[in-house]
Amino acid sequence: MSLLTVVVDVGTARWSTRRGHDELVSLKGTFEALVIFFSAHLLMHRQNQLRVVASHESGAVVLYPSSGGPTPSSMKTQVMAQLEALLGGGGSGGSSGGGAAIASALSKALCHANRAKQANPALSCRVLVLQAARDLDSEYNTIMNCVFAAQKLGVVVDTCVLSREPSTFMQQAADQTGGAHVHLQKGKDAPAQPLLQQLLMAFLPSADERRVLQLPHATSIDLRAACFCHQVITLS
Amino acid sequence: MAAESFRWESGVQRSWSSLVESNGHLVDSSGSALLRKRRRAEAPGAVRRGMIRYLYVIVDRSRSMSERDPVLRPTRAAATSSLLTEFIHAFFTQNPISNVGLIVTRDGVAEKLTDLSGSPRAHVEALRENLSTSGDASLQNPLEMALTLLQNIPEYGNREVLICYGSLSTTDPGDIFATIAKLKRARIRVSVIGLTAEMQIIKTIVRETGGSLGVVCNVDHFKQLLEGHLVPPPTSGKRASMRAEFVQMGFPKRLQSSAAVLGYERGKMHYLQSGFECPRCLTRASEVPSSCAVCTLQLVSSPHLAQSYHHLFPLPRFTEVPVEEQAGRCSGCDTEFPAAAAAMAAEGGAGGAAGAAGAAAADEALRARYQCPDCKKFFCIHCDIFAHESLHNCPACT
Repeated sequence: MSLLTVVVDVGTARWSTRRGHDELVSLKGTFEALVIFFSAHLLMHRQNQLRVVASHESGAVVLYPSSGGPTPSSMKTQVMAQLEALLGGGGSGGSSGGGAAIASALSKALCHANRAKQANPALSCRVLVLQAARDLDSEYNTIMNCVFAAQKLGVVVDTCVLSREPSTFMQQAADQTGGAHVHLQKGKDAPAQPLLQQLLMAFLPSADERRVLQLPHATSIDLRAACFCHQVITLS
Repeated sequence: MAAESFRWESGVQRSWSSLVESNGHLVDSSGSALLRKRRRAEAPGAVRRGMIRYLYVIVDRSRSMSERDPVLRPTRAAATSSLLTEFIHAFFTQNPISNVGLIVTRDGVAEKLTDLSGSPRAHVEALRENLSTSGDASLQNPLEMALTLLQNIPEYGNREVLICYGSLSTTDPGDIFATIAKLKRARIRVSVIGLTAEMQIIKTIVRETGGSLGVVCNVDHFKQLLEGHLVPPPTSGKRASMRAEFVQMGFPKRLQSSAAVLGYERGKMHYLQSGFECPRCLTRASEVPSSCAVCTLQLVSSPHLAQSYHHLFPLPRFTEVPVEEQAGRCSGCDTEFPAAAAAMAAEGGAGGAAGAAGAAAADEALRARYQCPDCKKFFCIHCDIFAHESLHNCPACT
């Protein structure tokens, strides 16, 4: 019985930088795969709970459950409707100036997980973060604070990076909390793995089930720090 | 309640009526525990602090520690050991690049239990094994020992001593005031947690070295006093005028391989499956933070440094705003704020004439909204406590 919170990076500026690259998935394709993944999670156990938070330039917005009764049959329509409202209406009225609010979305997910755990201490919580573009150096502090709070709370943070560049923040987040990290990219000879396959294989099993499964784990974790004034990674 | 000063003068306080069963657990629904927690997580403002701390904990293991205490159960020594174990774990969580060492005093002499190290394992084991008490306690001997051990610490480190003292006397070989003068010259900050009573000599030590003193009233108070030492103390006096120094540190990469590689674990060579590679000499170390066994470079990982940042950039306190009709949802956990009318109705059933006034105030504070001074969004009390105690940043600020 677990609560899964999915934080999806939907900043329009961030997705538009991917066009022109050899892109693996589009925003529409990502959400189609995600909705199937959500249904799969809700079917794994009848008391499983789901929450979807989108991180956008205008802040972090809860896509599901929105106000109105959450039932699995209407989950897809709710998610897609809220997403369309967010992308259509919002525009660039955000205060972060071109960046997405992954840190804010992750903080909100943890606040909710904290409240849920207080109400029901037996609930196991995990968070899945999907990042669409490269790391924002200005968010390092906030993301690390969230990671330590998650560690203290006992929440497992899984991360999936959809961009071509690897993300050190996401690697460290998964490593510190005991989660899985996946970087979707083309291998040297192999074609890119489809997103849905990775979601179902690596992120669907709960923490107990993962102990008996062979899951992807990082062989080398980049633990280097960034220079405080210029936010440039120190070369050792 | 202010007019009545003694418990028998005030009415009966039915503290059990605030306990409610929820999901098989008994939960305190009066909210006073939450409010106390909120008051504790206060942001003191941005001040200069030394992050790299070298702390020696001096534990009293004299006869008086094995006495039965009405407040600290079962004996002072056992209660102190368990609380110190929790303190050590919390200390390394909040100050990951610091070092702790343990000294005990019994039979009038001091004995070093563990060396200064950055990993909690050794200290916790030593505390668990060393529970025997005998003889008198001494103040001068462990302080002289701490002085010798802390003398070789580099200038940028914060030198601190924390004494948990349970005796009412001290057995010293020489002039303790000379020791105090030496401690002051070496810029060592001595703090004391008294378990029995306040002593004049302890007050003098603390005052001269710039530390803090507390005497425990109950177990909760003991925990609170220990928690006060988790935050690095503000830099003061001569140290404040020192210019900032750069400290050389290495950031190792963590490597995992299927074949075990030779590396160092706690000073001895071992075969390691996963190790941290020193960036200067490429030797593998088993854990971080530590210093490289070959080239003595301080090895730290960036998450460890990031764990200390929140002391330097504390989250400002949220302002309390009374609850209104149509209050909306909490910006953190997205639950609805209860409207004012519902809150009044719930209080009608609370029992006890004297208890009602206090309970009403507590409920009022529980249902109030808390506003971030930067982004002006509202949060409930649970998110407020979570943001200040664990998260250290506002969930809605981008």
